[in-house]
Amino acid sequence: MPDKGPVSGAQGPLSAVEYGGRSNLEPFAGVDSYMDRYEGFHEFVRTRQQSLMRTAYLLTGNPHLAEDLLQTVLTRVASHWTKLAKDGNPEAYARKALVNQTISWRRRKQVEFPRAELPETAEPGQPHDEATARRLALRHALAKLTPKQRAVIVLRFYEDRSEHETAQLMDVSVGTVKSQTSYALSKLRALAPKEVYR
Amino acid sequence: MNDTLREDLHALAEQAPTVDLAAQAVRGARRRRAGRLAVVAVTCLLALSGTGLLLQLPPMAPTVLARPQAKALPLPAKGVGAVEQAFRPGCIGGSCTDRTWHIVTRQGDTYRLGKETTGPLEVTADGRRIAYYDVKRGGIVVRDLASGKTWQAPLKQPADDFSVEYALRLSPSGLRFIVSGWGGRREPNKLVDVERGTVTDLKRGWWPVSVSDGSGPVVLAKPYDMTSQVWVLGHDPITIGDFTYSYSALAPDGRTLARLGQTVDRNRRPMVRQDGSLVTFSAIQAGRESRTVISGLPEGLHPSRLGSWLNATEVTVLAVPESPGATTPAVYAVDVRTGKARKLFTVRGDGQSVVPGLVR
Repeated sequence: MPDKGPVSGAQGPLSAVEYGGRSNLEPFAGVDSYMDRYEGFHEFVRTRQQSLMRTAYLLTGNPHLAEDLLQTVLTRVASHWTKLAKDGNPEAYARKALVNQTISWRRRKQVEFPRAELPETAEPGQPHDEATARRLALRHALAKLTPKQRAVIVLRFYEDRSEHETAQLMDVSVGTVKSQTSYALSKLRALAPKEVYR
Repeated sequence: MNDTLREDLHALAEQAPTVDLAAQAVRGARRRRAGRLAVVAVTCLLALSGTGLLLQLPPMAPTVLARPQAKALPLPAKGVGAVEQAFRPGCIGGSCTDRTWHIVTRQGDTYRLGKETTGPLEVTADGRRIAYYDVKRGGIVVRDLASGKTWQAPLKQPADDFSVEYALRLSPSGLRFIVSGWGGRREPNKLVDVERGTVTDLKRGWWPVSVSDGSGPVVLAKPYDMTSQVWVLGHDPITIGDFTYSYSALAPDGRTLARLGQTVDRNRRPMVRQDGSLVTFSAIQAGRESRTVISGLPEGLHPSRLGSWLNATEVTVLAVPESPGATTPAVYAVDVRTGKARKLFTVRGDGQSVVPGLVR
């Protein structure tokens, strides 16, 4: 079964009702040579986690879910750290996992999927300035996109990835990136005020 | 052209909270590694014991409470009564020798399906027909258990379609269904009419809720971050204020659906939880809904999924324990007017279970 979502109740690839058993892992919990196995991992996380967190936040639209998402991904990175540190690219691995995990979560049937938050940044009763209003509208509009459309917007226009890089990160073709970008921008243009994303 | 968009995305990203996840990630990785080692260790011990080495394994607590295994006869060609539930035995002690589907009739007889039906299995709401993926025929086959008659769906599918997340939603007769998949190479989403021999592509991203026989209503749903849309084909989609997949089948009136109510608390994990209520609403006209609290479920069980309607006012509800093995899951009929639940039958708690007509 693939990794579960951030909360309980997610179902695995087989959609029949599944009642899993418990695993008894404790007797083996002390076998890691902790310091050696994860050497360099803390440093990697310390330097890159905030950047990854910002991408996770844009992908999910929710700070709690973004944290869940990033923790899931970093756990996976830690699990493969020995190999990644030796001859891999931990950050590329993490970014690809972020994108694919969020698409997978949002596609999967799970009732507990959290909602995107829409925090107000202006004081109650005070008018928003133009940029704030535009960003609130953008946040609303992003929430209306499909997971893939949202991912292409984040990768293409936040991370400034090329179409080719975006395709590689999302495991799709360049043509799919083009079409998803086009659909996503059309939606954003339709939903954002004053046609600012022309 | 998109400089404003870039600027705004960066401004939004700056609102991401500050985190320090290294220690948590390492703890999680250690647990994963421990789990892999445990599996390897058990596998090795089992292999060694097979060669005659006497190894003293520590006594292992049973993972779940399992019924005594009833003797399962091969499914007869015909003359089988209505199915109460189907199940596929779970793996016991790391051994998965029997992964074939078993069906349990309302009379208590248990039958074992052939090895060619190890893929998906669904049962019509009345329990009289089953639909399964037949490896040899490369598609879904519908079988009437009483007469033994089978129908081959007019849609060839590779087994790969069911090695990922999928849904197989049957009409009451089983002769019209939606088959959908997510995460695989093809991601089908097709409405199949077995009697007419037709296959209709459905819009991607819409999840099957309910299929009626003949040319009756087909209901799809699509969740967004904050809301969901419900679409009865031929009508305009309506929007409801929940992200949910917990819908019932369409009620006998052809327009009412039920869903499990839920609450959101961002300081709680999980943030969205079902609140024990049942919401009935019009799938055609937005805004018309009523809510009732489900009562009569034993302590420790909470509603998990909805299914078919027994009559105009009672819908089936699967109730499951908070944690696996704590209490045996069961199927109830809940009156949507009063919320009162009455037990129909207990569901096998080990392995995979299939409840006729459940929307999942």
